[in-house]
Amino acid sequence: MHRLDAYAHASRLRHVHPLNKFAFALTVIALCLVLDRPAVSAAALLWMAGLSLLWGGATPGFVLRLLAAEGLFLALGVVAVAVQIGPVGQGGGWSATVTPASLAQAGALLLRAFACASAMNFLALTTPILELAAAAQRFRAPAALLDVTLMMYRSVFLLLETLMRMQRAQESRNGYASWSATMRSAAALGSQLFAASWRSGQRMEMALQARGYEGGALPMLTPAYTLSRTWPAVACLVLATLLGLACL
Amino acid sequence: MISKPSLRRRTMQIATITVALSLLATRPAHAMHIMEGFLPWPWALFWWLMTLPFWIWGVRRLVFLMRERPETRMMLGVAGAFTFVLSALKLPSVTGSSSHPTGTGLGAILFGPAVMSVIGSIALLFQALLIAHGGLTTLGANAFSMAVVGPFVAWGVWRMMRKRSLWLAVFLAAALANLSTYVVTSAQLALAYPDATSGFIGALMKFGAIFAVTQIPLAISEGILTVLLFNALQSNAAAELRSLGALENVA
Repeated sequence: MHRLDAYAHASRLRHVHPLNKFAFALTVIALCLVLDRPAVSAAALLWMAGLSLLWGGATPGFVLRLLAAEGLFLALGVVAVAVQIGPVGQGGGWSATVTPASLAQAGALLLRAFACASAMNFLALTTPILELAAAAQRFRAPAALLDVTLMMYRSVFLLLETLMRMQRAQESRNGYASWSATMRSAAALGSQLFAASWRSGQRMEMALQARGYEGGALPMLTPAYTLSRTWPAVACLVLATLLGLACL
Repeated sequence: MISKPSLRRRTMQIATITVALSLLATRPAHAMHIMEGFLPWPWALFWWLMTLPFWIWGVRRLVFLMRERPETRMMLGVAGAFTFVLSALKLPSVTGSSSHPTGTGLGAILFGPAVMSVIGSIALLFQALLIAHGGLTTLGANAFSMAVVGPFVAWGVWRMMRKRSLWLAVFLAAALANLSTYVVTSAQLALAYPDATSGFIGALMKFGAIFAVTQIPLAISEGILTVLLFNALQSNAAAELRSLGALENVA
């Protein structure tokens, strides 16, 4: 989680406007879903993984690890699509079968999901959530919603750090040695974390009020976005390839 | 004497069952969300539209809360982060592997279902973009099962039971929220991919069976954990619980 966020902040594509990247990734996903052709999916998978690696600056190992983690979840769902169950004969017994058609459907589905996942990973690897949420202000998203999102983003990393520290302390005292000890430790951890997060929220609120904050979107620094000529050209090329493959 | 085609079919069945079981055994410990690209676009759109009214309702409630009590602005953000981080707790499952709670039951008890529908959906967005788990087009479907149905079930159970027995209310709210999330997820998958021969019911059985093995013990574990957590909260953070109104009308 920290690494994915770190890649997003260090990405070489960070100068591209977040909404630009968001629209691009979403268009690729939409094309994969609507066209639903294995050739389109394969091309999208290669393009998006390639762009994250070569242009975004992510390492091949990390991109593969993300896809592998997603693949494990996908595999479970795909098995259920590939296997068909139904009544057999007059006896009323049920059996599971695999037909060539169901296998083909499952294969195409796996490829499509991988393609869409790699498009989502591209967005995650090149765009910090913070900037994406700030950019959503343009669409007149309610300020209350944006504030909560931005606060959540800021607190998530702090709380996770606290959680890890507490967990390590409990582990070093055999807090997770047995089933019942794990339950007790997890409950203590959760309640302490709740109290800690509540108090940190109160402190933050007090600090802001002391500085004259009266509600409204919190100002934040965003990097200067530039519109290079290469980015739209590459984006159009990717979309053209996908559409071209669909026409073949 | 077994004829050749049926022998082949038998071998195929054994092979698929083995694959399915080995996948279950190596299942990484995380909540089950529908991955990006798994739902066909009409279904993805359908679940977005189904969730939209709840989001509008939740955001309205959020705006109202912030206008009424401006200090809740920070609290809601931190509370949202808490529900997100809660899913990183280690939860032992009866089957031996460890997993993570969904936290929607506790969230609904503490903050109510309207606020949870928004906070839970933002947490799902974070899961998609921070740990590459879940999806953007499938966010509607995942939010409907985890941020709408789960909290509503928990809230309903909590409201009905809290006057009779506090621990039972907390247990059932958390366990049923967890379970209903997975039932809805299975139904969503079955609707999108009905079985060629046995239709929706067959598909529901398939997807349900895959999840049930791990989910039923997990739901019980989450229920027990939430009871312990709630007890600990009562002694560690009673003032906070009271200001949230979570201790009103309880047994």
